[in-house]
Amino acid sequence: MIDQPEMARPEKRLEEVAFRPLLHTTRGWYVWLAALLLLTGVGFFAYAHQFQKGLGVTGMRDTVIWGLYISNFVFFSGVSMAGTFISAILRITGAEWRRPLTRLAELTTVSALLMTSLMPLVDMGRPDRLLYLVRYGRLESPLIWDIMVIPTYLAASIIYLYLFLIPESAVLRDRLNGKVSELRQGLYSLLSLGWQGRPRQRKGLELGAGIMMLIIIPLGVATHSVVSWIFGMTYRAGWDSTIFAPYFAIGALYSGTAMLITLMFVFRRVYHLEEYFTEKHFRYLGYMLAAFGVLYFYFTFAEYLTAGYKLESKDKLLLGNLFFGRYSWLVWPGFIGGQVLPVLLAVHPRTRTMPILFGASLLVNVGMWIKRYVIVVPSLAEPLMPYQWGVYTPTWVELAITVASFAGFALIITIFCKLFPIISVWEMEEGWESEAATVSAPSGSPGGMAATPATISLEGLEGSQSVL
Amino acid sequence: MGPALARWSHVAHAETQEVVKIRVEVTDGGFRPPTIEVEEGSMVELTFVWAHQAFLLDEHVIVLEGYKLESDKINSDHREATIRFVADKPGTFAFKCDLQCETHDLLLNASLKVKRGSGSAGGSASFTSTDLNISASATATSGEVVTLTVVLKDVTGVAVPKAEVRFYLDAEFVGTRGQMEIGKARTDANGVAVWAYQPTLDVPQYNITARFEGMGVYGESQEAIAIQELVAPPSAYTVAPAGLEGAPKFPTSVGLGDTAESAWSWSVSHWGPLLLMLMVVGAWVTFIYVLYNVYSAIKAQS
Repeated sequence: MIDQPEMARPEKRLEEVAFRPLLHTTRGWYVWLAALLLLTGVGFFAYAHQFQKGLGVTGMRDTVIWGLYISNFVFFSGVSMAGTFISAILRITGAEWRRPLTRLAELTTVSALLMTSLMPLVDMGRPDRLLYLVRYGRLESPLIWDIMVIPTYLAASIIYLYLFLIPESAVLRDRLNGKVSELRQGLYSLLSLGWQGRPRQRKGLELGAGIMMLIIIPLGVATHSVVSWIFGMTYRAGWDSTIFAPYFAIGALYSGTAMLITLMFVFRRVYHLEEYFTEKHFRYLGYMLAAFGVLYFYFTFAEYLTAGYKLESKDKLLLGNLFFGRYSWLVWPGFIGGQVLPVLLAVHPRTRTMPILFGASLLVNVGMWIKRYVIVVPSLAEPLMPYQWGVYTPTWVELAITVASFAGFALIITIFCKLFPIISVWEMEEGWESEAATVSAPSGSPGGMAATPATISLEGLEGSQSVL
Repeated sequence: MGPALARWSHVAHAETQEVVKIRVEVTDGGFRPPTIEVEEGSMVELTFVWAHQAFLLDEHVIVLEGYKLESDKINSDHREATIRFVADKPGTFAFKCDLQCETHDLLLNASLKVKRGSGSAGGSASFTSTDLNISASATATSGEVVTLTVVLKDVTGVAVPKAEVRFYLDAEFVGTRGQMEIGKARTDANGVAVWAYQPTLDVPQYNITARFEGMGVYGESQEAIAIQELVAPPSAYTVAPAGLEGAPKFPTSVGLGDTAESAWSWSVSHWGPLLLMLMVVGAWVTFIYVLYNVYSAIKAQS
């Protein structure tokens, strides 16, 4: 039992709030887990059906060869930009308000990237065809570039997440000793690698984290560039564009930020993190959302203006169908609901409140998914020869796998949060200690870094960067 | 000359054949008579006679569709042109002028009716057998031009002019083998037809067949030839589709040497991905370094 003055200390309050989901499981959590398992199970059943019968059970045919799977692939790759990239940028720039967000952001990236990696496998029909890509793929093909870059970005994101989990695992190993099962205790011990917070250990981690921070930013940009070049390296209407790489990168930042706001709001409510995911965090992420939204709008405008001004016959056909034809019912709601409205809501101070920003982020998520679908399908449906337009209607198999991919995304986050705090405890404590050291610095204190054995300072990253 | 793989020719009937001779005048008012009739199986000699009164500068080449026949040009200097053929296909076939002449609109609606033979009433004319000979270099490099030369003669050694010769390549597509048409050419007055072919397949040997399907009084014949692939094509070698040879190409060649023809001349599509691959390999090496470094630092005793 902790007495009241102890509870009043921020470190203890944080421990209480952050460790509570790890130690107590509610009935609601089981219901949520069961629902996610059910949805992913239906997805596995659908995939088994597709594996047995072939891709003929999907709506994809020889004209429209990509559908929901590749739309999901692009969407999840965009979401993955949220975390690690934003986290790395905020860490490098020393933004102190990042501390409660970084774990959630990095976890979002890893979870989304796992789904990103799965989608092409599902789209291939037979997973062994992946070997064909390795054996027979040509280096000149953008598909091979994706095969090279996405696993690299995934590995970098997992390493990046893990490096900051080492001290956290040590915290859990030491403070939850006897409160969790031996299996979990063993897991924490294993992941902490024997971390004690010694100076040499801190120095080694600082150097590794610093290198990963620097490498992950170009990798994130490269990932979204090569995803865009699957489309941009062709002559197809709607894809034949020189600005697709930055267009996709900005779109990824936009949808990634929106997903971060969505998850932050949900965790704030469910885990009672009001003290840590504050109005300030939502406001700052709202600024970022508005800025990325405006940039994305600018790219969209430039893309369609140049195509519409020149109006080559292939573009005329496509634009007509997008804005006034068979896809207009998707394009306009996606554009207004996914780009215009959220930016307006995030820009105006009166609407920049937490619930409204949460609503805006949901709109962006839906709108950006629609945008990816509109990029993938209509360009394929447009005939290259004077024949009829291709027809694509997703089947129940594709819909079930799509729902399962979103459920799988949520499932990974759910299980992770059962094992580790969603707020990085050691990083928060480090921030408070750093703050305290700054206040006490005039009295001659060198910094007060080693208050607890499981803390590490990354404030000395400038030093580690100079090593590079 | 390349080695001939197979040779086949139609068997000729040397018997004397009765010829149905028909004269059709090309006048200011059109063909006269506009309709002619022959029996199936007849040997027909159809003579077109230039007979204009007003349009003295008019020139004509008469084509008989269905039989793929074409007359020589007739005008005020060369007033008659004759085509000979075996009327082996029953039905009604249009013949018309193929040039843009003054009386063109009046020379579109004439027809030859070949009545189906009824027992002894039908003719028994037979085709003159032909001999087709194809030649080309014995080896070729993918992407470079190979000239295929065909000489077509009848059994007496007389050249067969204006004959259409088609070229076929033995090919396989999604598990199905067959002959893919790669081009066609027409023989000149000496019975010679020439076709410039660009091999694009990565196969050790090209089997090409030249085929004359018969025309007029001449029977069909064909011959095959094998051409050995000399050098495997470069991995990124592409040949523009027919008709697009002049289209702008991307990526453009980036010369790393003094001239565009330099052996060091690479293309963007080569060095771009290589750069990407180097970046990816560098990233993985860095990952291993980071993990090893962090692990060693944490496991260190001091």
